[in-house]
Amino acid sequence: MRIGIDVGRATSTAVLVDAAGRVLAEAVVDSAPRTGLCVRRALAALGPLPGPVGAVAVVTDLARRPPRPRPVAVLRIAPGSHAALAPLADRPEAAHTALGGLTGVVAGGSAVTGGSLGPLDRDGAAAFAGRARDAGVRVFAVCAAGAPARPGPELDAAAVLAATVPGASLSLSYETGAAGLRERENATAVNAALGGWAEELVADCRAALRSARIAAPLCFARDDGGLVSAEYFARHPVIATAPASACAARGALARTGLDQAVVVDAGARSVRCLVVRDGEPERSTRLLPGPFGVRLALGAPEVVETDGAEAAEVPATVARLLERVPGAGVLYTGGRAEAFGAPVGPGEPPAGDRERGTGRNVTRADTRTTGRTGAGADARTDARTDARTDVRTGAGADADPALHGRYPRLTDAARYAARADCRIEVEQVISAAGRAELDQALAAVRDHALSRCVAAGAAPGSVRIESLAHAPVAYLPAGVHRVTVRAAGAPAPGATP
Amino acid sequence: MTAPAAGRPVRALTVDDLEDLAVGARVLAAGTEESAYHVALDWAAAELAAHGPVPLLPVDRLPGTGLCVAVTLAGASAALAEQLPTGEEPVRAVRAVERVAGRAAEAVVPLNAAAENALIALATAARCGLPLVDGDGCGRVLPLLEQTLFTLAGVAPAPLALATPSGDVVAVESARGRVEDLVRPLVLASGGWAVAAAYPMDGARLASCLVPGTVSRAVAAGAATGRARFAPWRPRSLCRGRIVAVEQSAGAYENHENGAAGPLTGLPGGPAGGTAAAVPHGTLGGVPDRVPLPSRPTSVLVEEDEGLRRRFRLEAHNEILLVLADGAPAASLPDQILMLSRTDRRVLDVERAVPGTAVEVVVIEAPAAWYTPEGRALARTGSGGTR
Repeated sequence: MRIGIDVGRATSTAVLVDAAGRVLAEAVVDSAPRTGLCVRRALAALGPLPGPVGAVAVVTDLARRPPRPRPVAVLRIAPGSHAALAPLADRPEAAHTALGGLTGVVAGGSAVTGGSLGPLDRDGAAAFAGRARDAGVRVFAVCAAGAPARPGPELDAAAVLAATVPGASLSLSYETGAAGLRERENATAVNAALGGWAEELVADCRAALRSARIAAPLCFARDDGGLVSAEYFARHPVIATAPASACAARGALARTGLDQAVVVDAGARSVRCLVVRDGEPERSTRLLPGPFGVRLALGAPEVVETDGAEAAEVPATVARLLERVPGAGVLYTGGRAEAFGAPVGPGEPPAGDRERGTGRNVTRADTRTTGRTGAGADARTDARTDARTDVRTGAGADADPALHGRYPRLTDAARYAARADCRIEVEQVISAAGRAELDQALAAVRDHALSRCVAAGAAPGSVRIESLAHAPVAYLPAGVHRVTVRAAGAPAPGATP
Repeated sequence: MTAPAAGRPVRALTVDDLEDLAVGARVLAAGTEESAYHVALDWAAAELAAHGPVPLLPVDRLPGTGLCVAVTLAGASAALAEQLPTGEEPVRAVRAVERVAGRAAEAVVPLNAAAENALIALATAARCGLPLVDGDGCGRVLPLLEQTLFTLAGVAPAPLALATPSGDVVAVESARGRVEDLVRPLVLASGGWAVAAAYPMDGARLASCLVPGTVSRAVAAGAATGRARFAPWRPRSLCRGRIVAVEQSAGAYENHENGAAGPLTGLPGGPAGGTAAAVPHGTLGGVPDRVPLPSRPTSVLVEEDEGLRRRFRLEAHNEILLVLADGAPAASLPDQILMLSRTDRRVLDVERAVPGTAVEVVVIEAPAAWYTPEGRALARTGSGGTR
């Protein structure tokens, strides 16, 4: 059995599923400020568990309760650049305030091909670490030019920083971002800044599990919807700051059996629309602002967000998104779906019940009501502050024909998380002189991705490569390839520390 | 901002125009690294902010005997995204050409007006205090420094100067046709990119071979939205579908190490199928004079999801060179072929093509000179029989 818990701004939902993914129990409770308390309430509302739990997956957005970031010292390892391109020069003023402004550049790094740009300036790195220590900053983001091709300079600098500032917290860009120095540097800085938030969240949720006597691995949902272990999340929080809509969208598609749709995630404070194609939320080709407004390139799903006051724009947004997926249907998730055109009722019926023939999937109007249609999954709120609990457990929920419980739209994200796999994505730049060498290098990236997936919480026996894409880098000599690998695996069994 | 003058007014490009230029310049860019694009954009913005607006010279206002210098990014935008510019590269490259030419430059012209190249040319003009010519030497994008309409008009790229982000400056004086061979190892040694200043020529000569108006066209396109953005280029839609496979040619690996060119190299007069992988090295279609392209070929397969539901095969080698629809040629060089993301109608980088992506494949007609026999040959082989 596994549990998925979606902690929204106003409502938290929990779903217990069995090994076959059938819903055994579900709960909807009002959220509290602390995420751990939300988890505790949701688990309590699920009631007595019929057996041991294999994993608990938590879905929560950073924006639900914006944290106070840790001040970060950003060290760039690269030759000097134009002042307009200095470390974090492209971040907005709010980010400067949030993250602090301590930056440094030391010589070293690599070209995109992996060729050295010079030896690491170790003395410069140590001096920078000393400045940070003197300023009371012990959190470092390290980004070297060419790190996706050659991470060595970052590892060397990390050793220098750790020696200078014992106990320093280090984020290295080669573990965090993709090619493109500035965006990778931004992602590393944000990652470092969010470390405290992530550690607190993990501790809070673990305490909640312990109080519920659940000894199961804790996972968190990534922005694209896969899971990572709590330990991995604590080290790489930047990949898991806004997972709610992707999880809700994936859950909505799983509920209906569709593999492409425009999904409307309707919360009380905002409505988020996204395109899902082949079961995957469509990613942006652009650089998107991430936490603190900092520009990132982490391949997050493209989500069009409309705040509550502009809800009238939602139909136009949906129509625009539908142009990208001809023939696709519109799916609604979240508690305020009916306000945006969803049929009244618990949700779209499964694919077998759907009317067809118009080129789009049409759902029948369902006149059943749940009595909870005002509550939403993200800002799933009706602004009431009294703690409410609405639970359904046991064989009744299990008998649901679509295996999606009584409040399907409301629990899409939690239900998806309960069934999801751990997943990671690795991007590297490799250089190979010939075909055999290329094949070897690709195999090495594949192996690295599989190892990384295990590090992210997947059971070693279950990890697999989901996709591997590579292409020659344009305008570079033959043999320089950009490789992107996705690996996934079921959460490994274990116990909450 | 405009300045009164005899004849057509000279417009000046300001920081306010920059965003439009940047957006419009992406229309022709099939291989733009998103991160590099923002590097060039922020760099150009900083230069404009520091040095003020840049006058945009229409073709009829070019300095008749004044020296004009073409500027471009040489190498990979992916490299620019990793090793950032110092900002000194353009002025060093232009000054080096001036030293060889023995006189000062009076205007900067983009070698092509696509993505980073337009922005770097603008940054160069701002930094050097020179006007920017409203036009470019290509009218589209081709991979080699010598694949320009300047070459077709008999203007040599050399003397040419490369300025690298590491501070190196290399001036190249060479007989025509050798520049690419000489420059590429230098670019690699410099980390994968450099700023090149090339094709020094008088304004009158430039006026005779320039593709005019391409900078202002990009600015206008950038100010438009949706399909209107592409309207000035009158794009022809080939298909709407999704990428189902991305392949690399196994055989081309060895051939390209030894100098085979792109997929069209073996085609004597236009698209007739076949790739370099299938053609023995050294005797490609009777076109012995050729310049090897950087990088390696990639094939992108797109399945149409409407209409005839054909399967399109896009043969790319830095740029998309050929499109086959169910095996029949649908477009080829010198047409500019672009893959647009149906998510936001942005031009997709072939490097980033992944199965499942919804795309529209469009064709933009190149300037007429590219459709002459010499133009086609130059576009296909990089030499065009001119050496």
